[in-house]
Amino acid sequence: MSEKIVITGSGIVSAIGNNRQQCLENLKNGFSGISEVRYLPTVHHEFPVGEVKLSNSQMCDLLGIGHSQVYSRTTLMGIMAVKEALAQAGASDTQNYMTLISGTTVGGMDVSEQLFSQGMSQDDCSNCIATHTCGASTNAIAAYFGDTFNSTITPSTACSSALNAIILGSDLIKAGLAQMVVAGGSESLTLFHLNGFKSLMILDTEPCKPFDEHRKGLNLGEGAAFVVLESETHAISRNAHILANISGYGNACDAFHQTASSPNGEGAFLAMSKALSEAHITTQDIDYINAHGTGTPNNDQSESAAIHRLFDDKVPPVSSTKSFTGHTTSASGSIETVISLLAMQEQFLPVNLGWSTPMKDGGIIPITESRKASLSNVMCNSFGFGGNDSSLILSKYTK
Amino acid sequence: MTSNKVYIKSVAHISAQQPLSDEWLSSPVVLQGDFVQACEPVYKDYISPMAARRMTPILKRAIVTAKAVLNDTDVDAIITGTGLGSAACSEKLINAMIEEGEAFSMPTQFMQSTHNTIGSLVAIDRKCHAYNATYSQDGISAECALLDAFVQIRLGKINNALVGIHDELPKSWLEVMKRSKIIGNLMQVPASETSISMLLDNNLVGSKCEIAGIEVAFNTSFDKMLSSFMSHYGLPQVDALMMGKNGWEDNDKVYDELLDKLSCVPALHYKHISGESCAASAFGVYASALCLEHGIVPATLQCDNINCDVPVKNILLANASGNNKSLILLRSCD
Repeated sequence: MSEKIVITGSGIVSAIGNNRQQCLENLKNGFSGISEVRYLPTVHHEFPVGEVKLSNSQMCDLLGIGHSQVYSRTTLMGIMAVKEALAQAGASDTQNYMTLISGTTVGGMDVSEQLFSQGMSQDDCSNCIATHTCGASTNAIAAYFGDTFNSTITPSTACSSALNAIILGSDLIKAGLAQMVVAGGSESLTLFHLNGFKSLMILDTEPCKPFDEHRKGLNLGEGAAFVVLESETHAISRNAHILANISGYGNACDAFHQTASSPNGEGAFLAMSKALSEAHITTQDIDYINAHGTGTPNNDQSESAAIHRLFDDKVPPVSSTKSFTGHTTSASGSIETVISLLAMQEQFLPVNLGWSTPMKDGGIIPITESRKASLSNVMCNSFGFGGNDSSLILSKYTK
Repeated sequence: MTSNKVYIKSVAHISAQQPLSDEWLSSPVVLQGDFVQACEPVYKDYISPMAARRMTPILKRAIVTAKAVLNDTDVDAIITGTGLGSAACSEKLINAMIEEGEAFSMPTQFMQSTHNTIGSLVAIDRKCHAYNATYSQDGISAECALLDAFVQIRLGKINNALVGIHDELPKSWLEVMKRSKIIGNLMQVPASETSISMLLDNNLVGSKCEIAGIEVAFNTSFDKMLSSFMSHYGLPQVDALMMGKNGWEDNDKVYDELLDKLSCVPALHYKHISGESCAASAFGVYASALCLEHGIVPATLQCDNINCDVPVKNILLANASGNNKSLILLRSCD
């Protein structure tokens, strides 16, 4: 049997807080971060969003970054979350042997859309090349940390990108090709995808209601989150405090439609099944599911069907914390992994805000009252366009 | 830990060279100008015109190259590398936004704008529910995609994988690259478009070569990467060095330390044949695999006068893209 992959640090920036502590308090108190748009220069104030409550220049100030170099918002949020994760892992001074795996899809599109609209001078072109691509946004996060990272990899599978980053990071460690990996994702709101989602007519004009009969769509959010991964042996050898271990994960393709999920949730079912089998546990061992639960009619129906297929009538407590953060797209997988980790450490169940009416066709009934709970195994789902479905199981660490 | 070995079973390309053919080995198309578009095959021979109408060129290239390498083979993973993704779709959305403000509605373009549209469409086309991932790391996107497949085959999680590396170059991005002087001034090979699909497998039978090691890096010299490579895969035997030089001095000088270290073996290049793109390094893998399969290195790939007559059984590929670098060791199956 291969070695345990453990988490020794985590960092998060989202609509409900700029760090772990703030996010935890808001989760426990049931305070959503979804509100009228304030930082994204859009005309669409009719769609509430889960923005990180900092301007780019405030983030630069917090990070001690001068204003001369152009940074995308995706990169700035990524730096904040990586910094917090490294600090918790006691790895801030690590040199030259960590891998950064950061999932994103829009990358530096926030900068590009601004530069394209102002006509692209030669300087603009250089800035655009330095910030536009997914890879460039990850490299800019790594560059902030000097010699800490010696390799960078950017998964880009739309909304499941960050969970797939954690999956790849775990595999690289298992294969002996990386010792310590900082894995997660970052994605800022952009006009590009706000208007794109608007075109698909799946944005709610009210705060989202995951798994509710009257749900009308999602609220976009933004943010970043990362976990520090290493083998159990490596963590013990450097006396690191182990927060949890990653006991299983799976990815599968729904292979149904570019943006819609199949009615029986085949991809989600396969992803969750793979994760369980890799963890060598059964459905009865799962104490909580942090659902993908976007609040769109299609996702919540399909995910409900997949969960019911797998868990039958013994479904553990489920909630979608997108009702707090909005759908943070490519970052959602790691944001919700960190939320699941916090729930496990603090032994409580995060609630599903906005829910009141059960779905007629027998969908998931999410938890709406926060309560203490003993959580040993937590499942976190993250699905993306293209039917890219991933599921991860975090387990309470025991030697 | 004992690991499974990883082999390249088949490769197909649509690039600046004759599509779906190895003809370039003997008579390469000479690339001219700043930008050379991919040379397209007759798509109706491979996809129904109805289906093709809904696909952008990069999607057609991905579907067709995947069909060419897989035929009826089922795969345990579909892994894609792309630097710019569905750039043509993204460009249409940005242009609409600039012209019409936020009033536009382009659902189809948006649906096809994510980087993983390519790998997802291949999965839908093949009704394949297996593992599906996409990597976007500029000029080493191919290496990241290959690394994922390599790791999973070695770990025994999968037996085979379709790895597709695809990049197109839409007008606006070409313009950005021209205005920044990278295309048309600094780079000495033309920019181009490349689509390559490969079937990786843990079974030696019928393979072109073995992938013996892959290393990707950020802000690290090739020298340091070689030590790391050795710590992961042992001391490599190298009979030829295949470099991703593109004629841009800043980019090409980083290969000097490798050339110094490997001064006795022939130095090879390929970007004058493939053109430069985020997917170009996949063409280097393809070209090297052909050399190892046939046991010859065509003169068109050689950039020095060192004798290539000795059998070339191990090719070390080196590629640099901004702050990212990669090393891949390919080994003959003989």
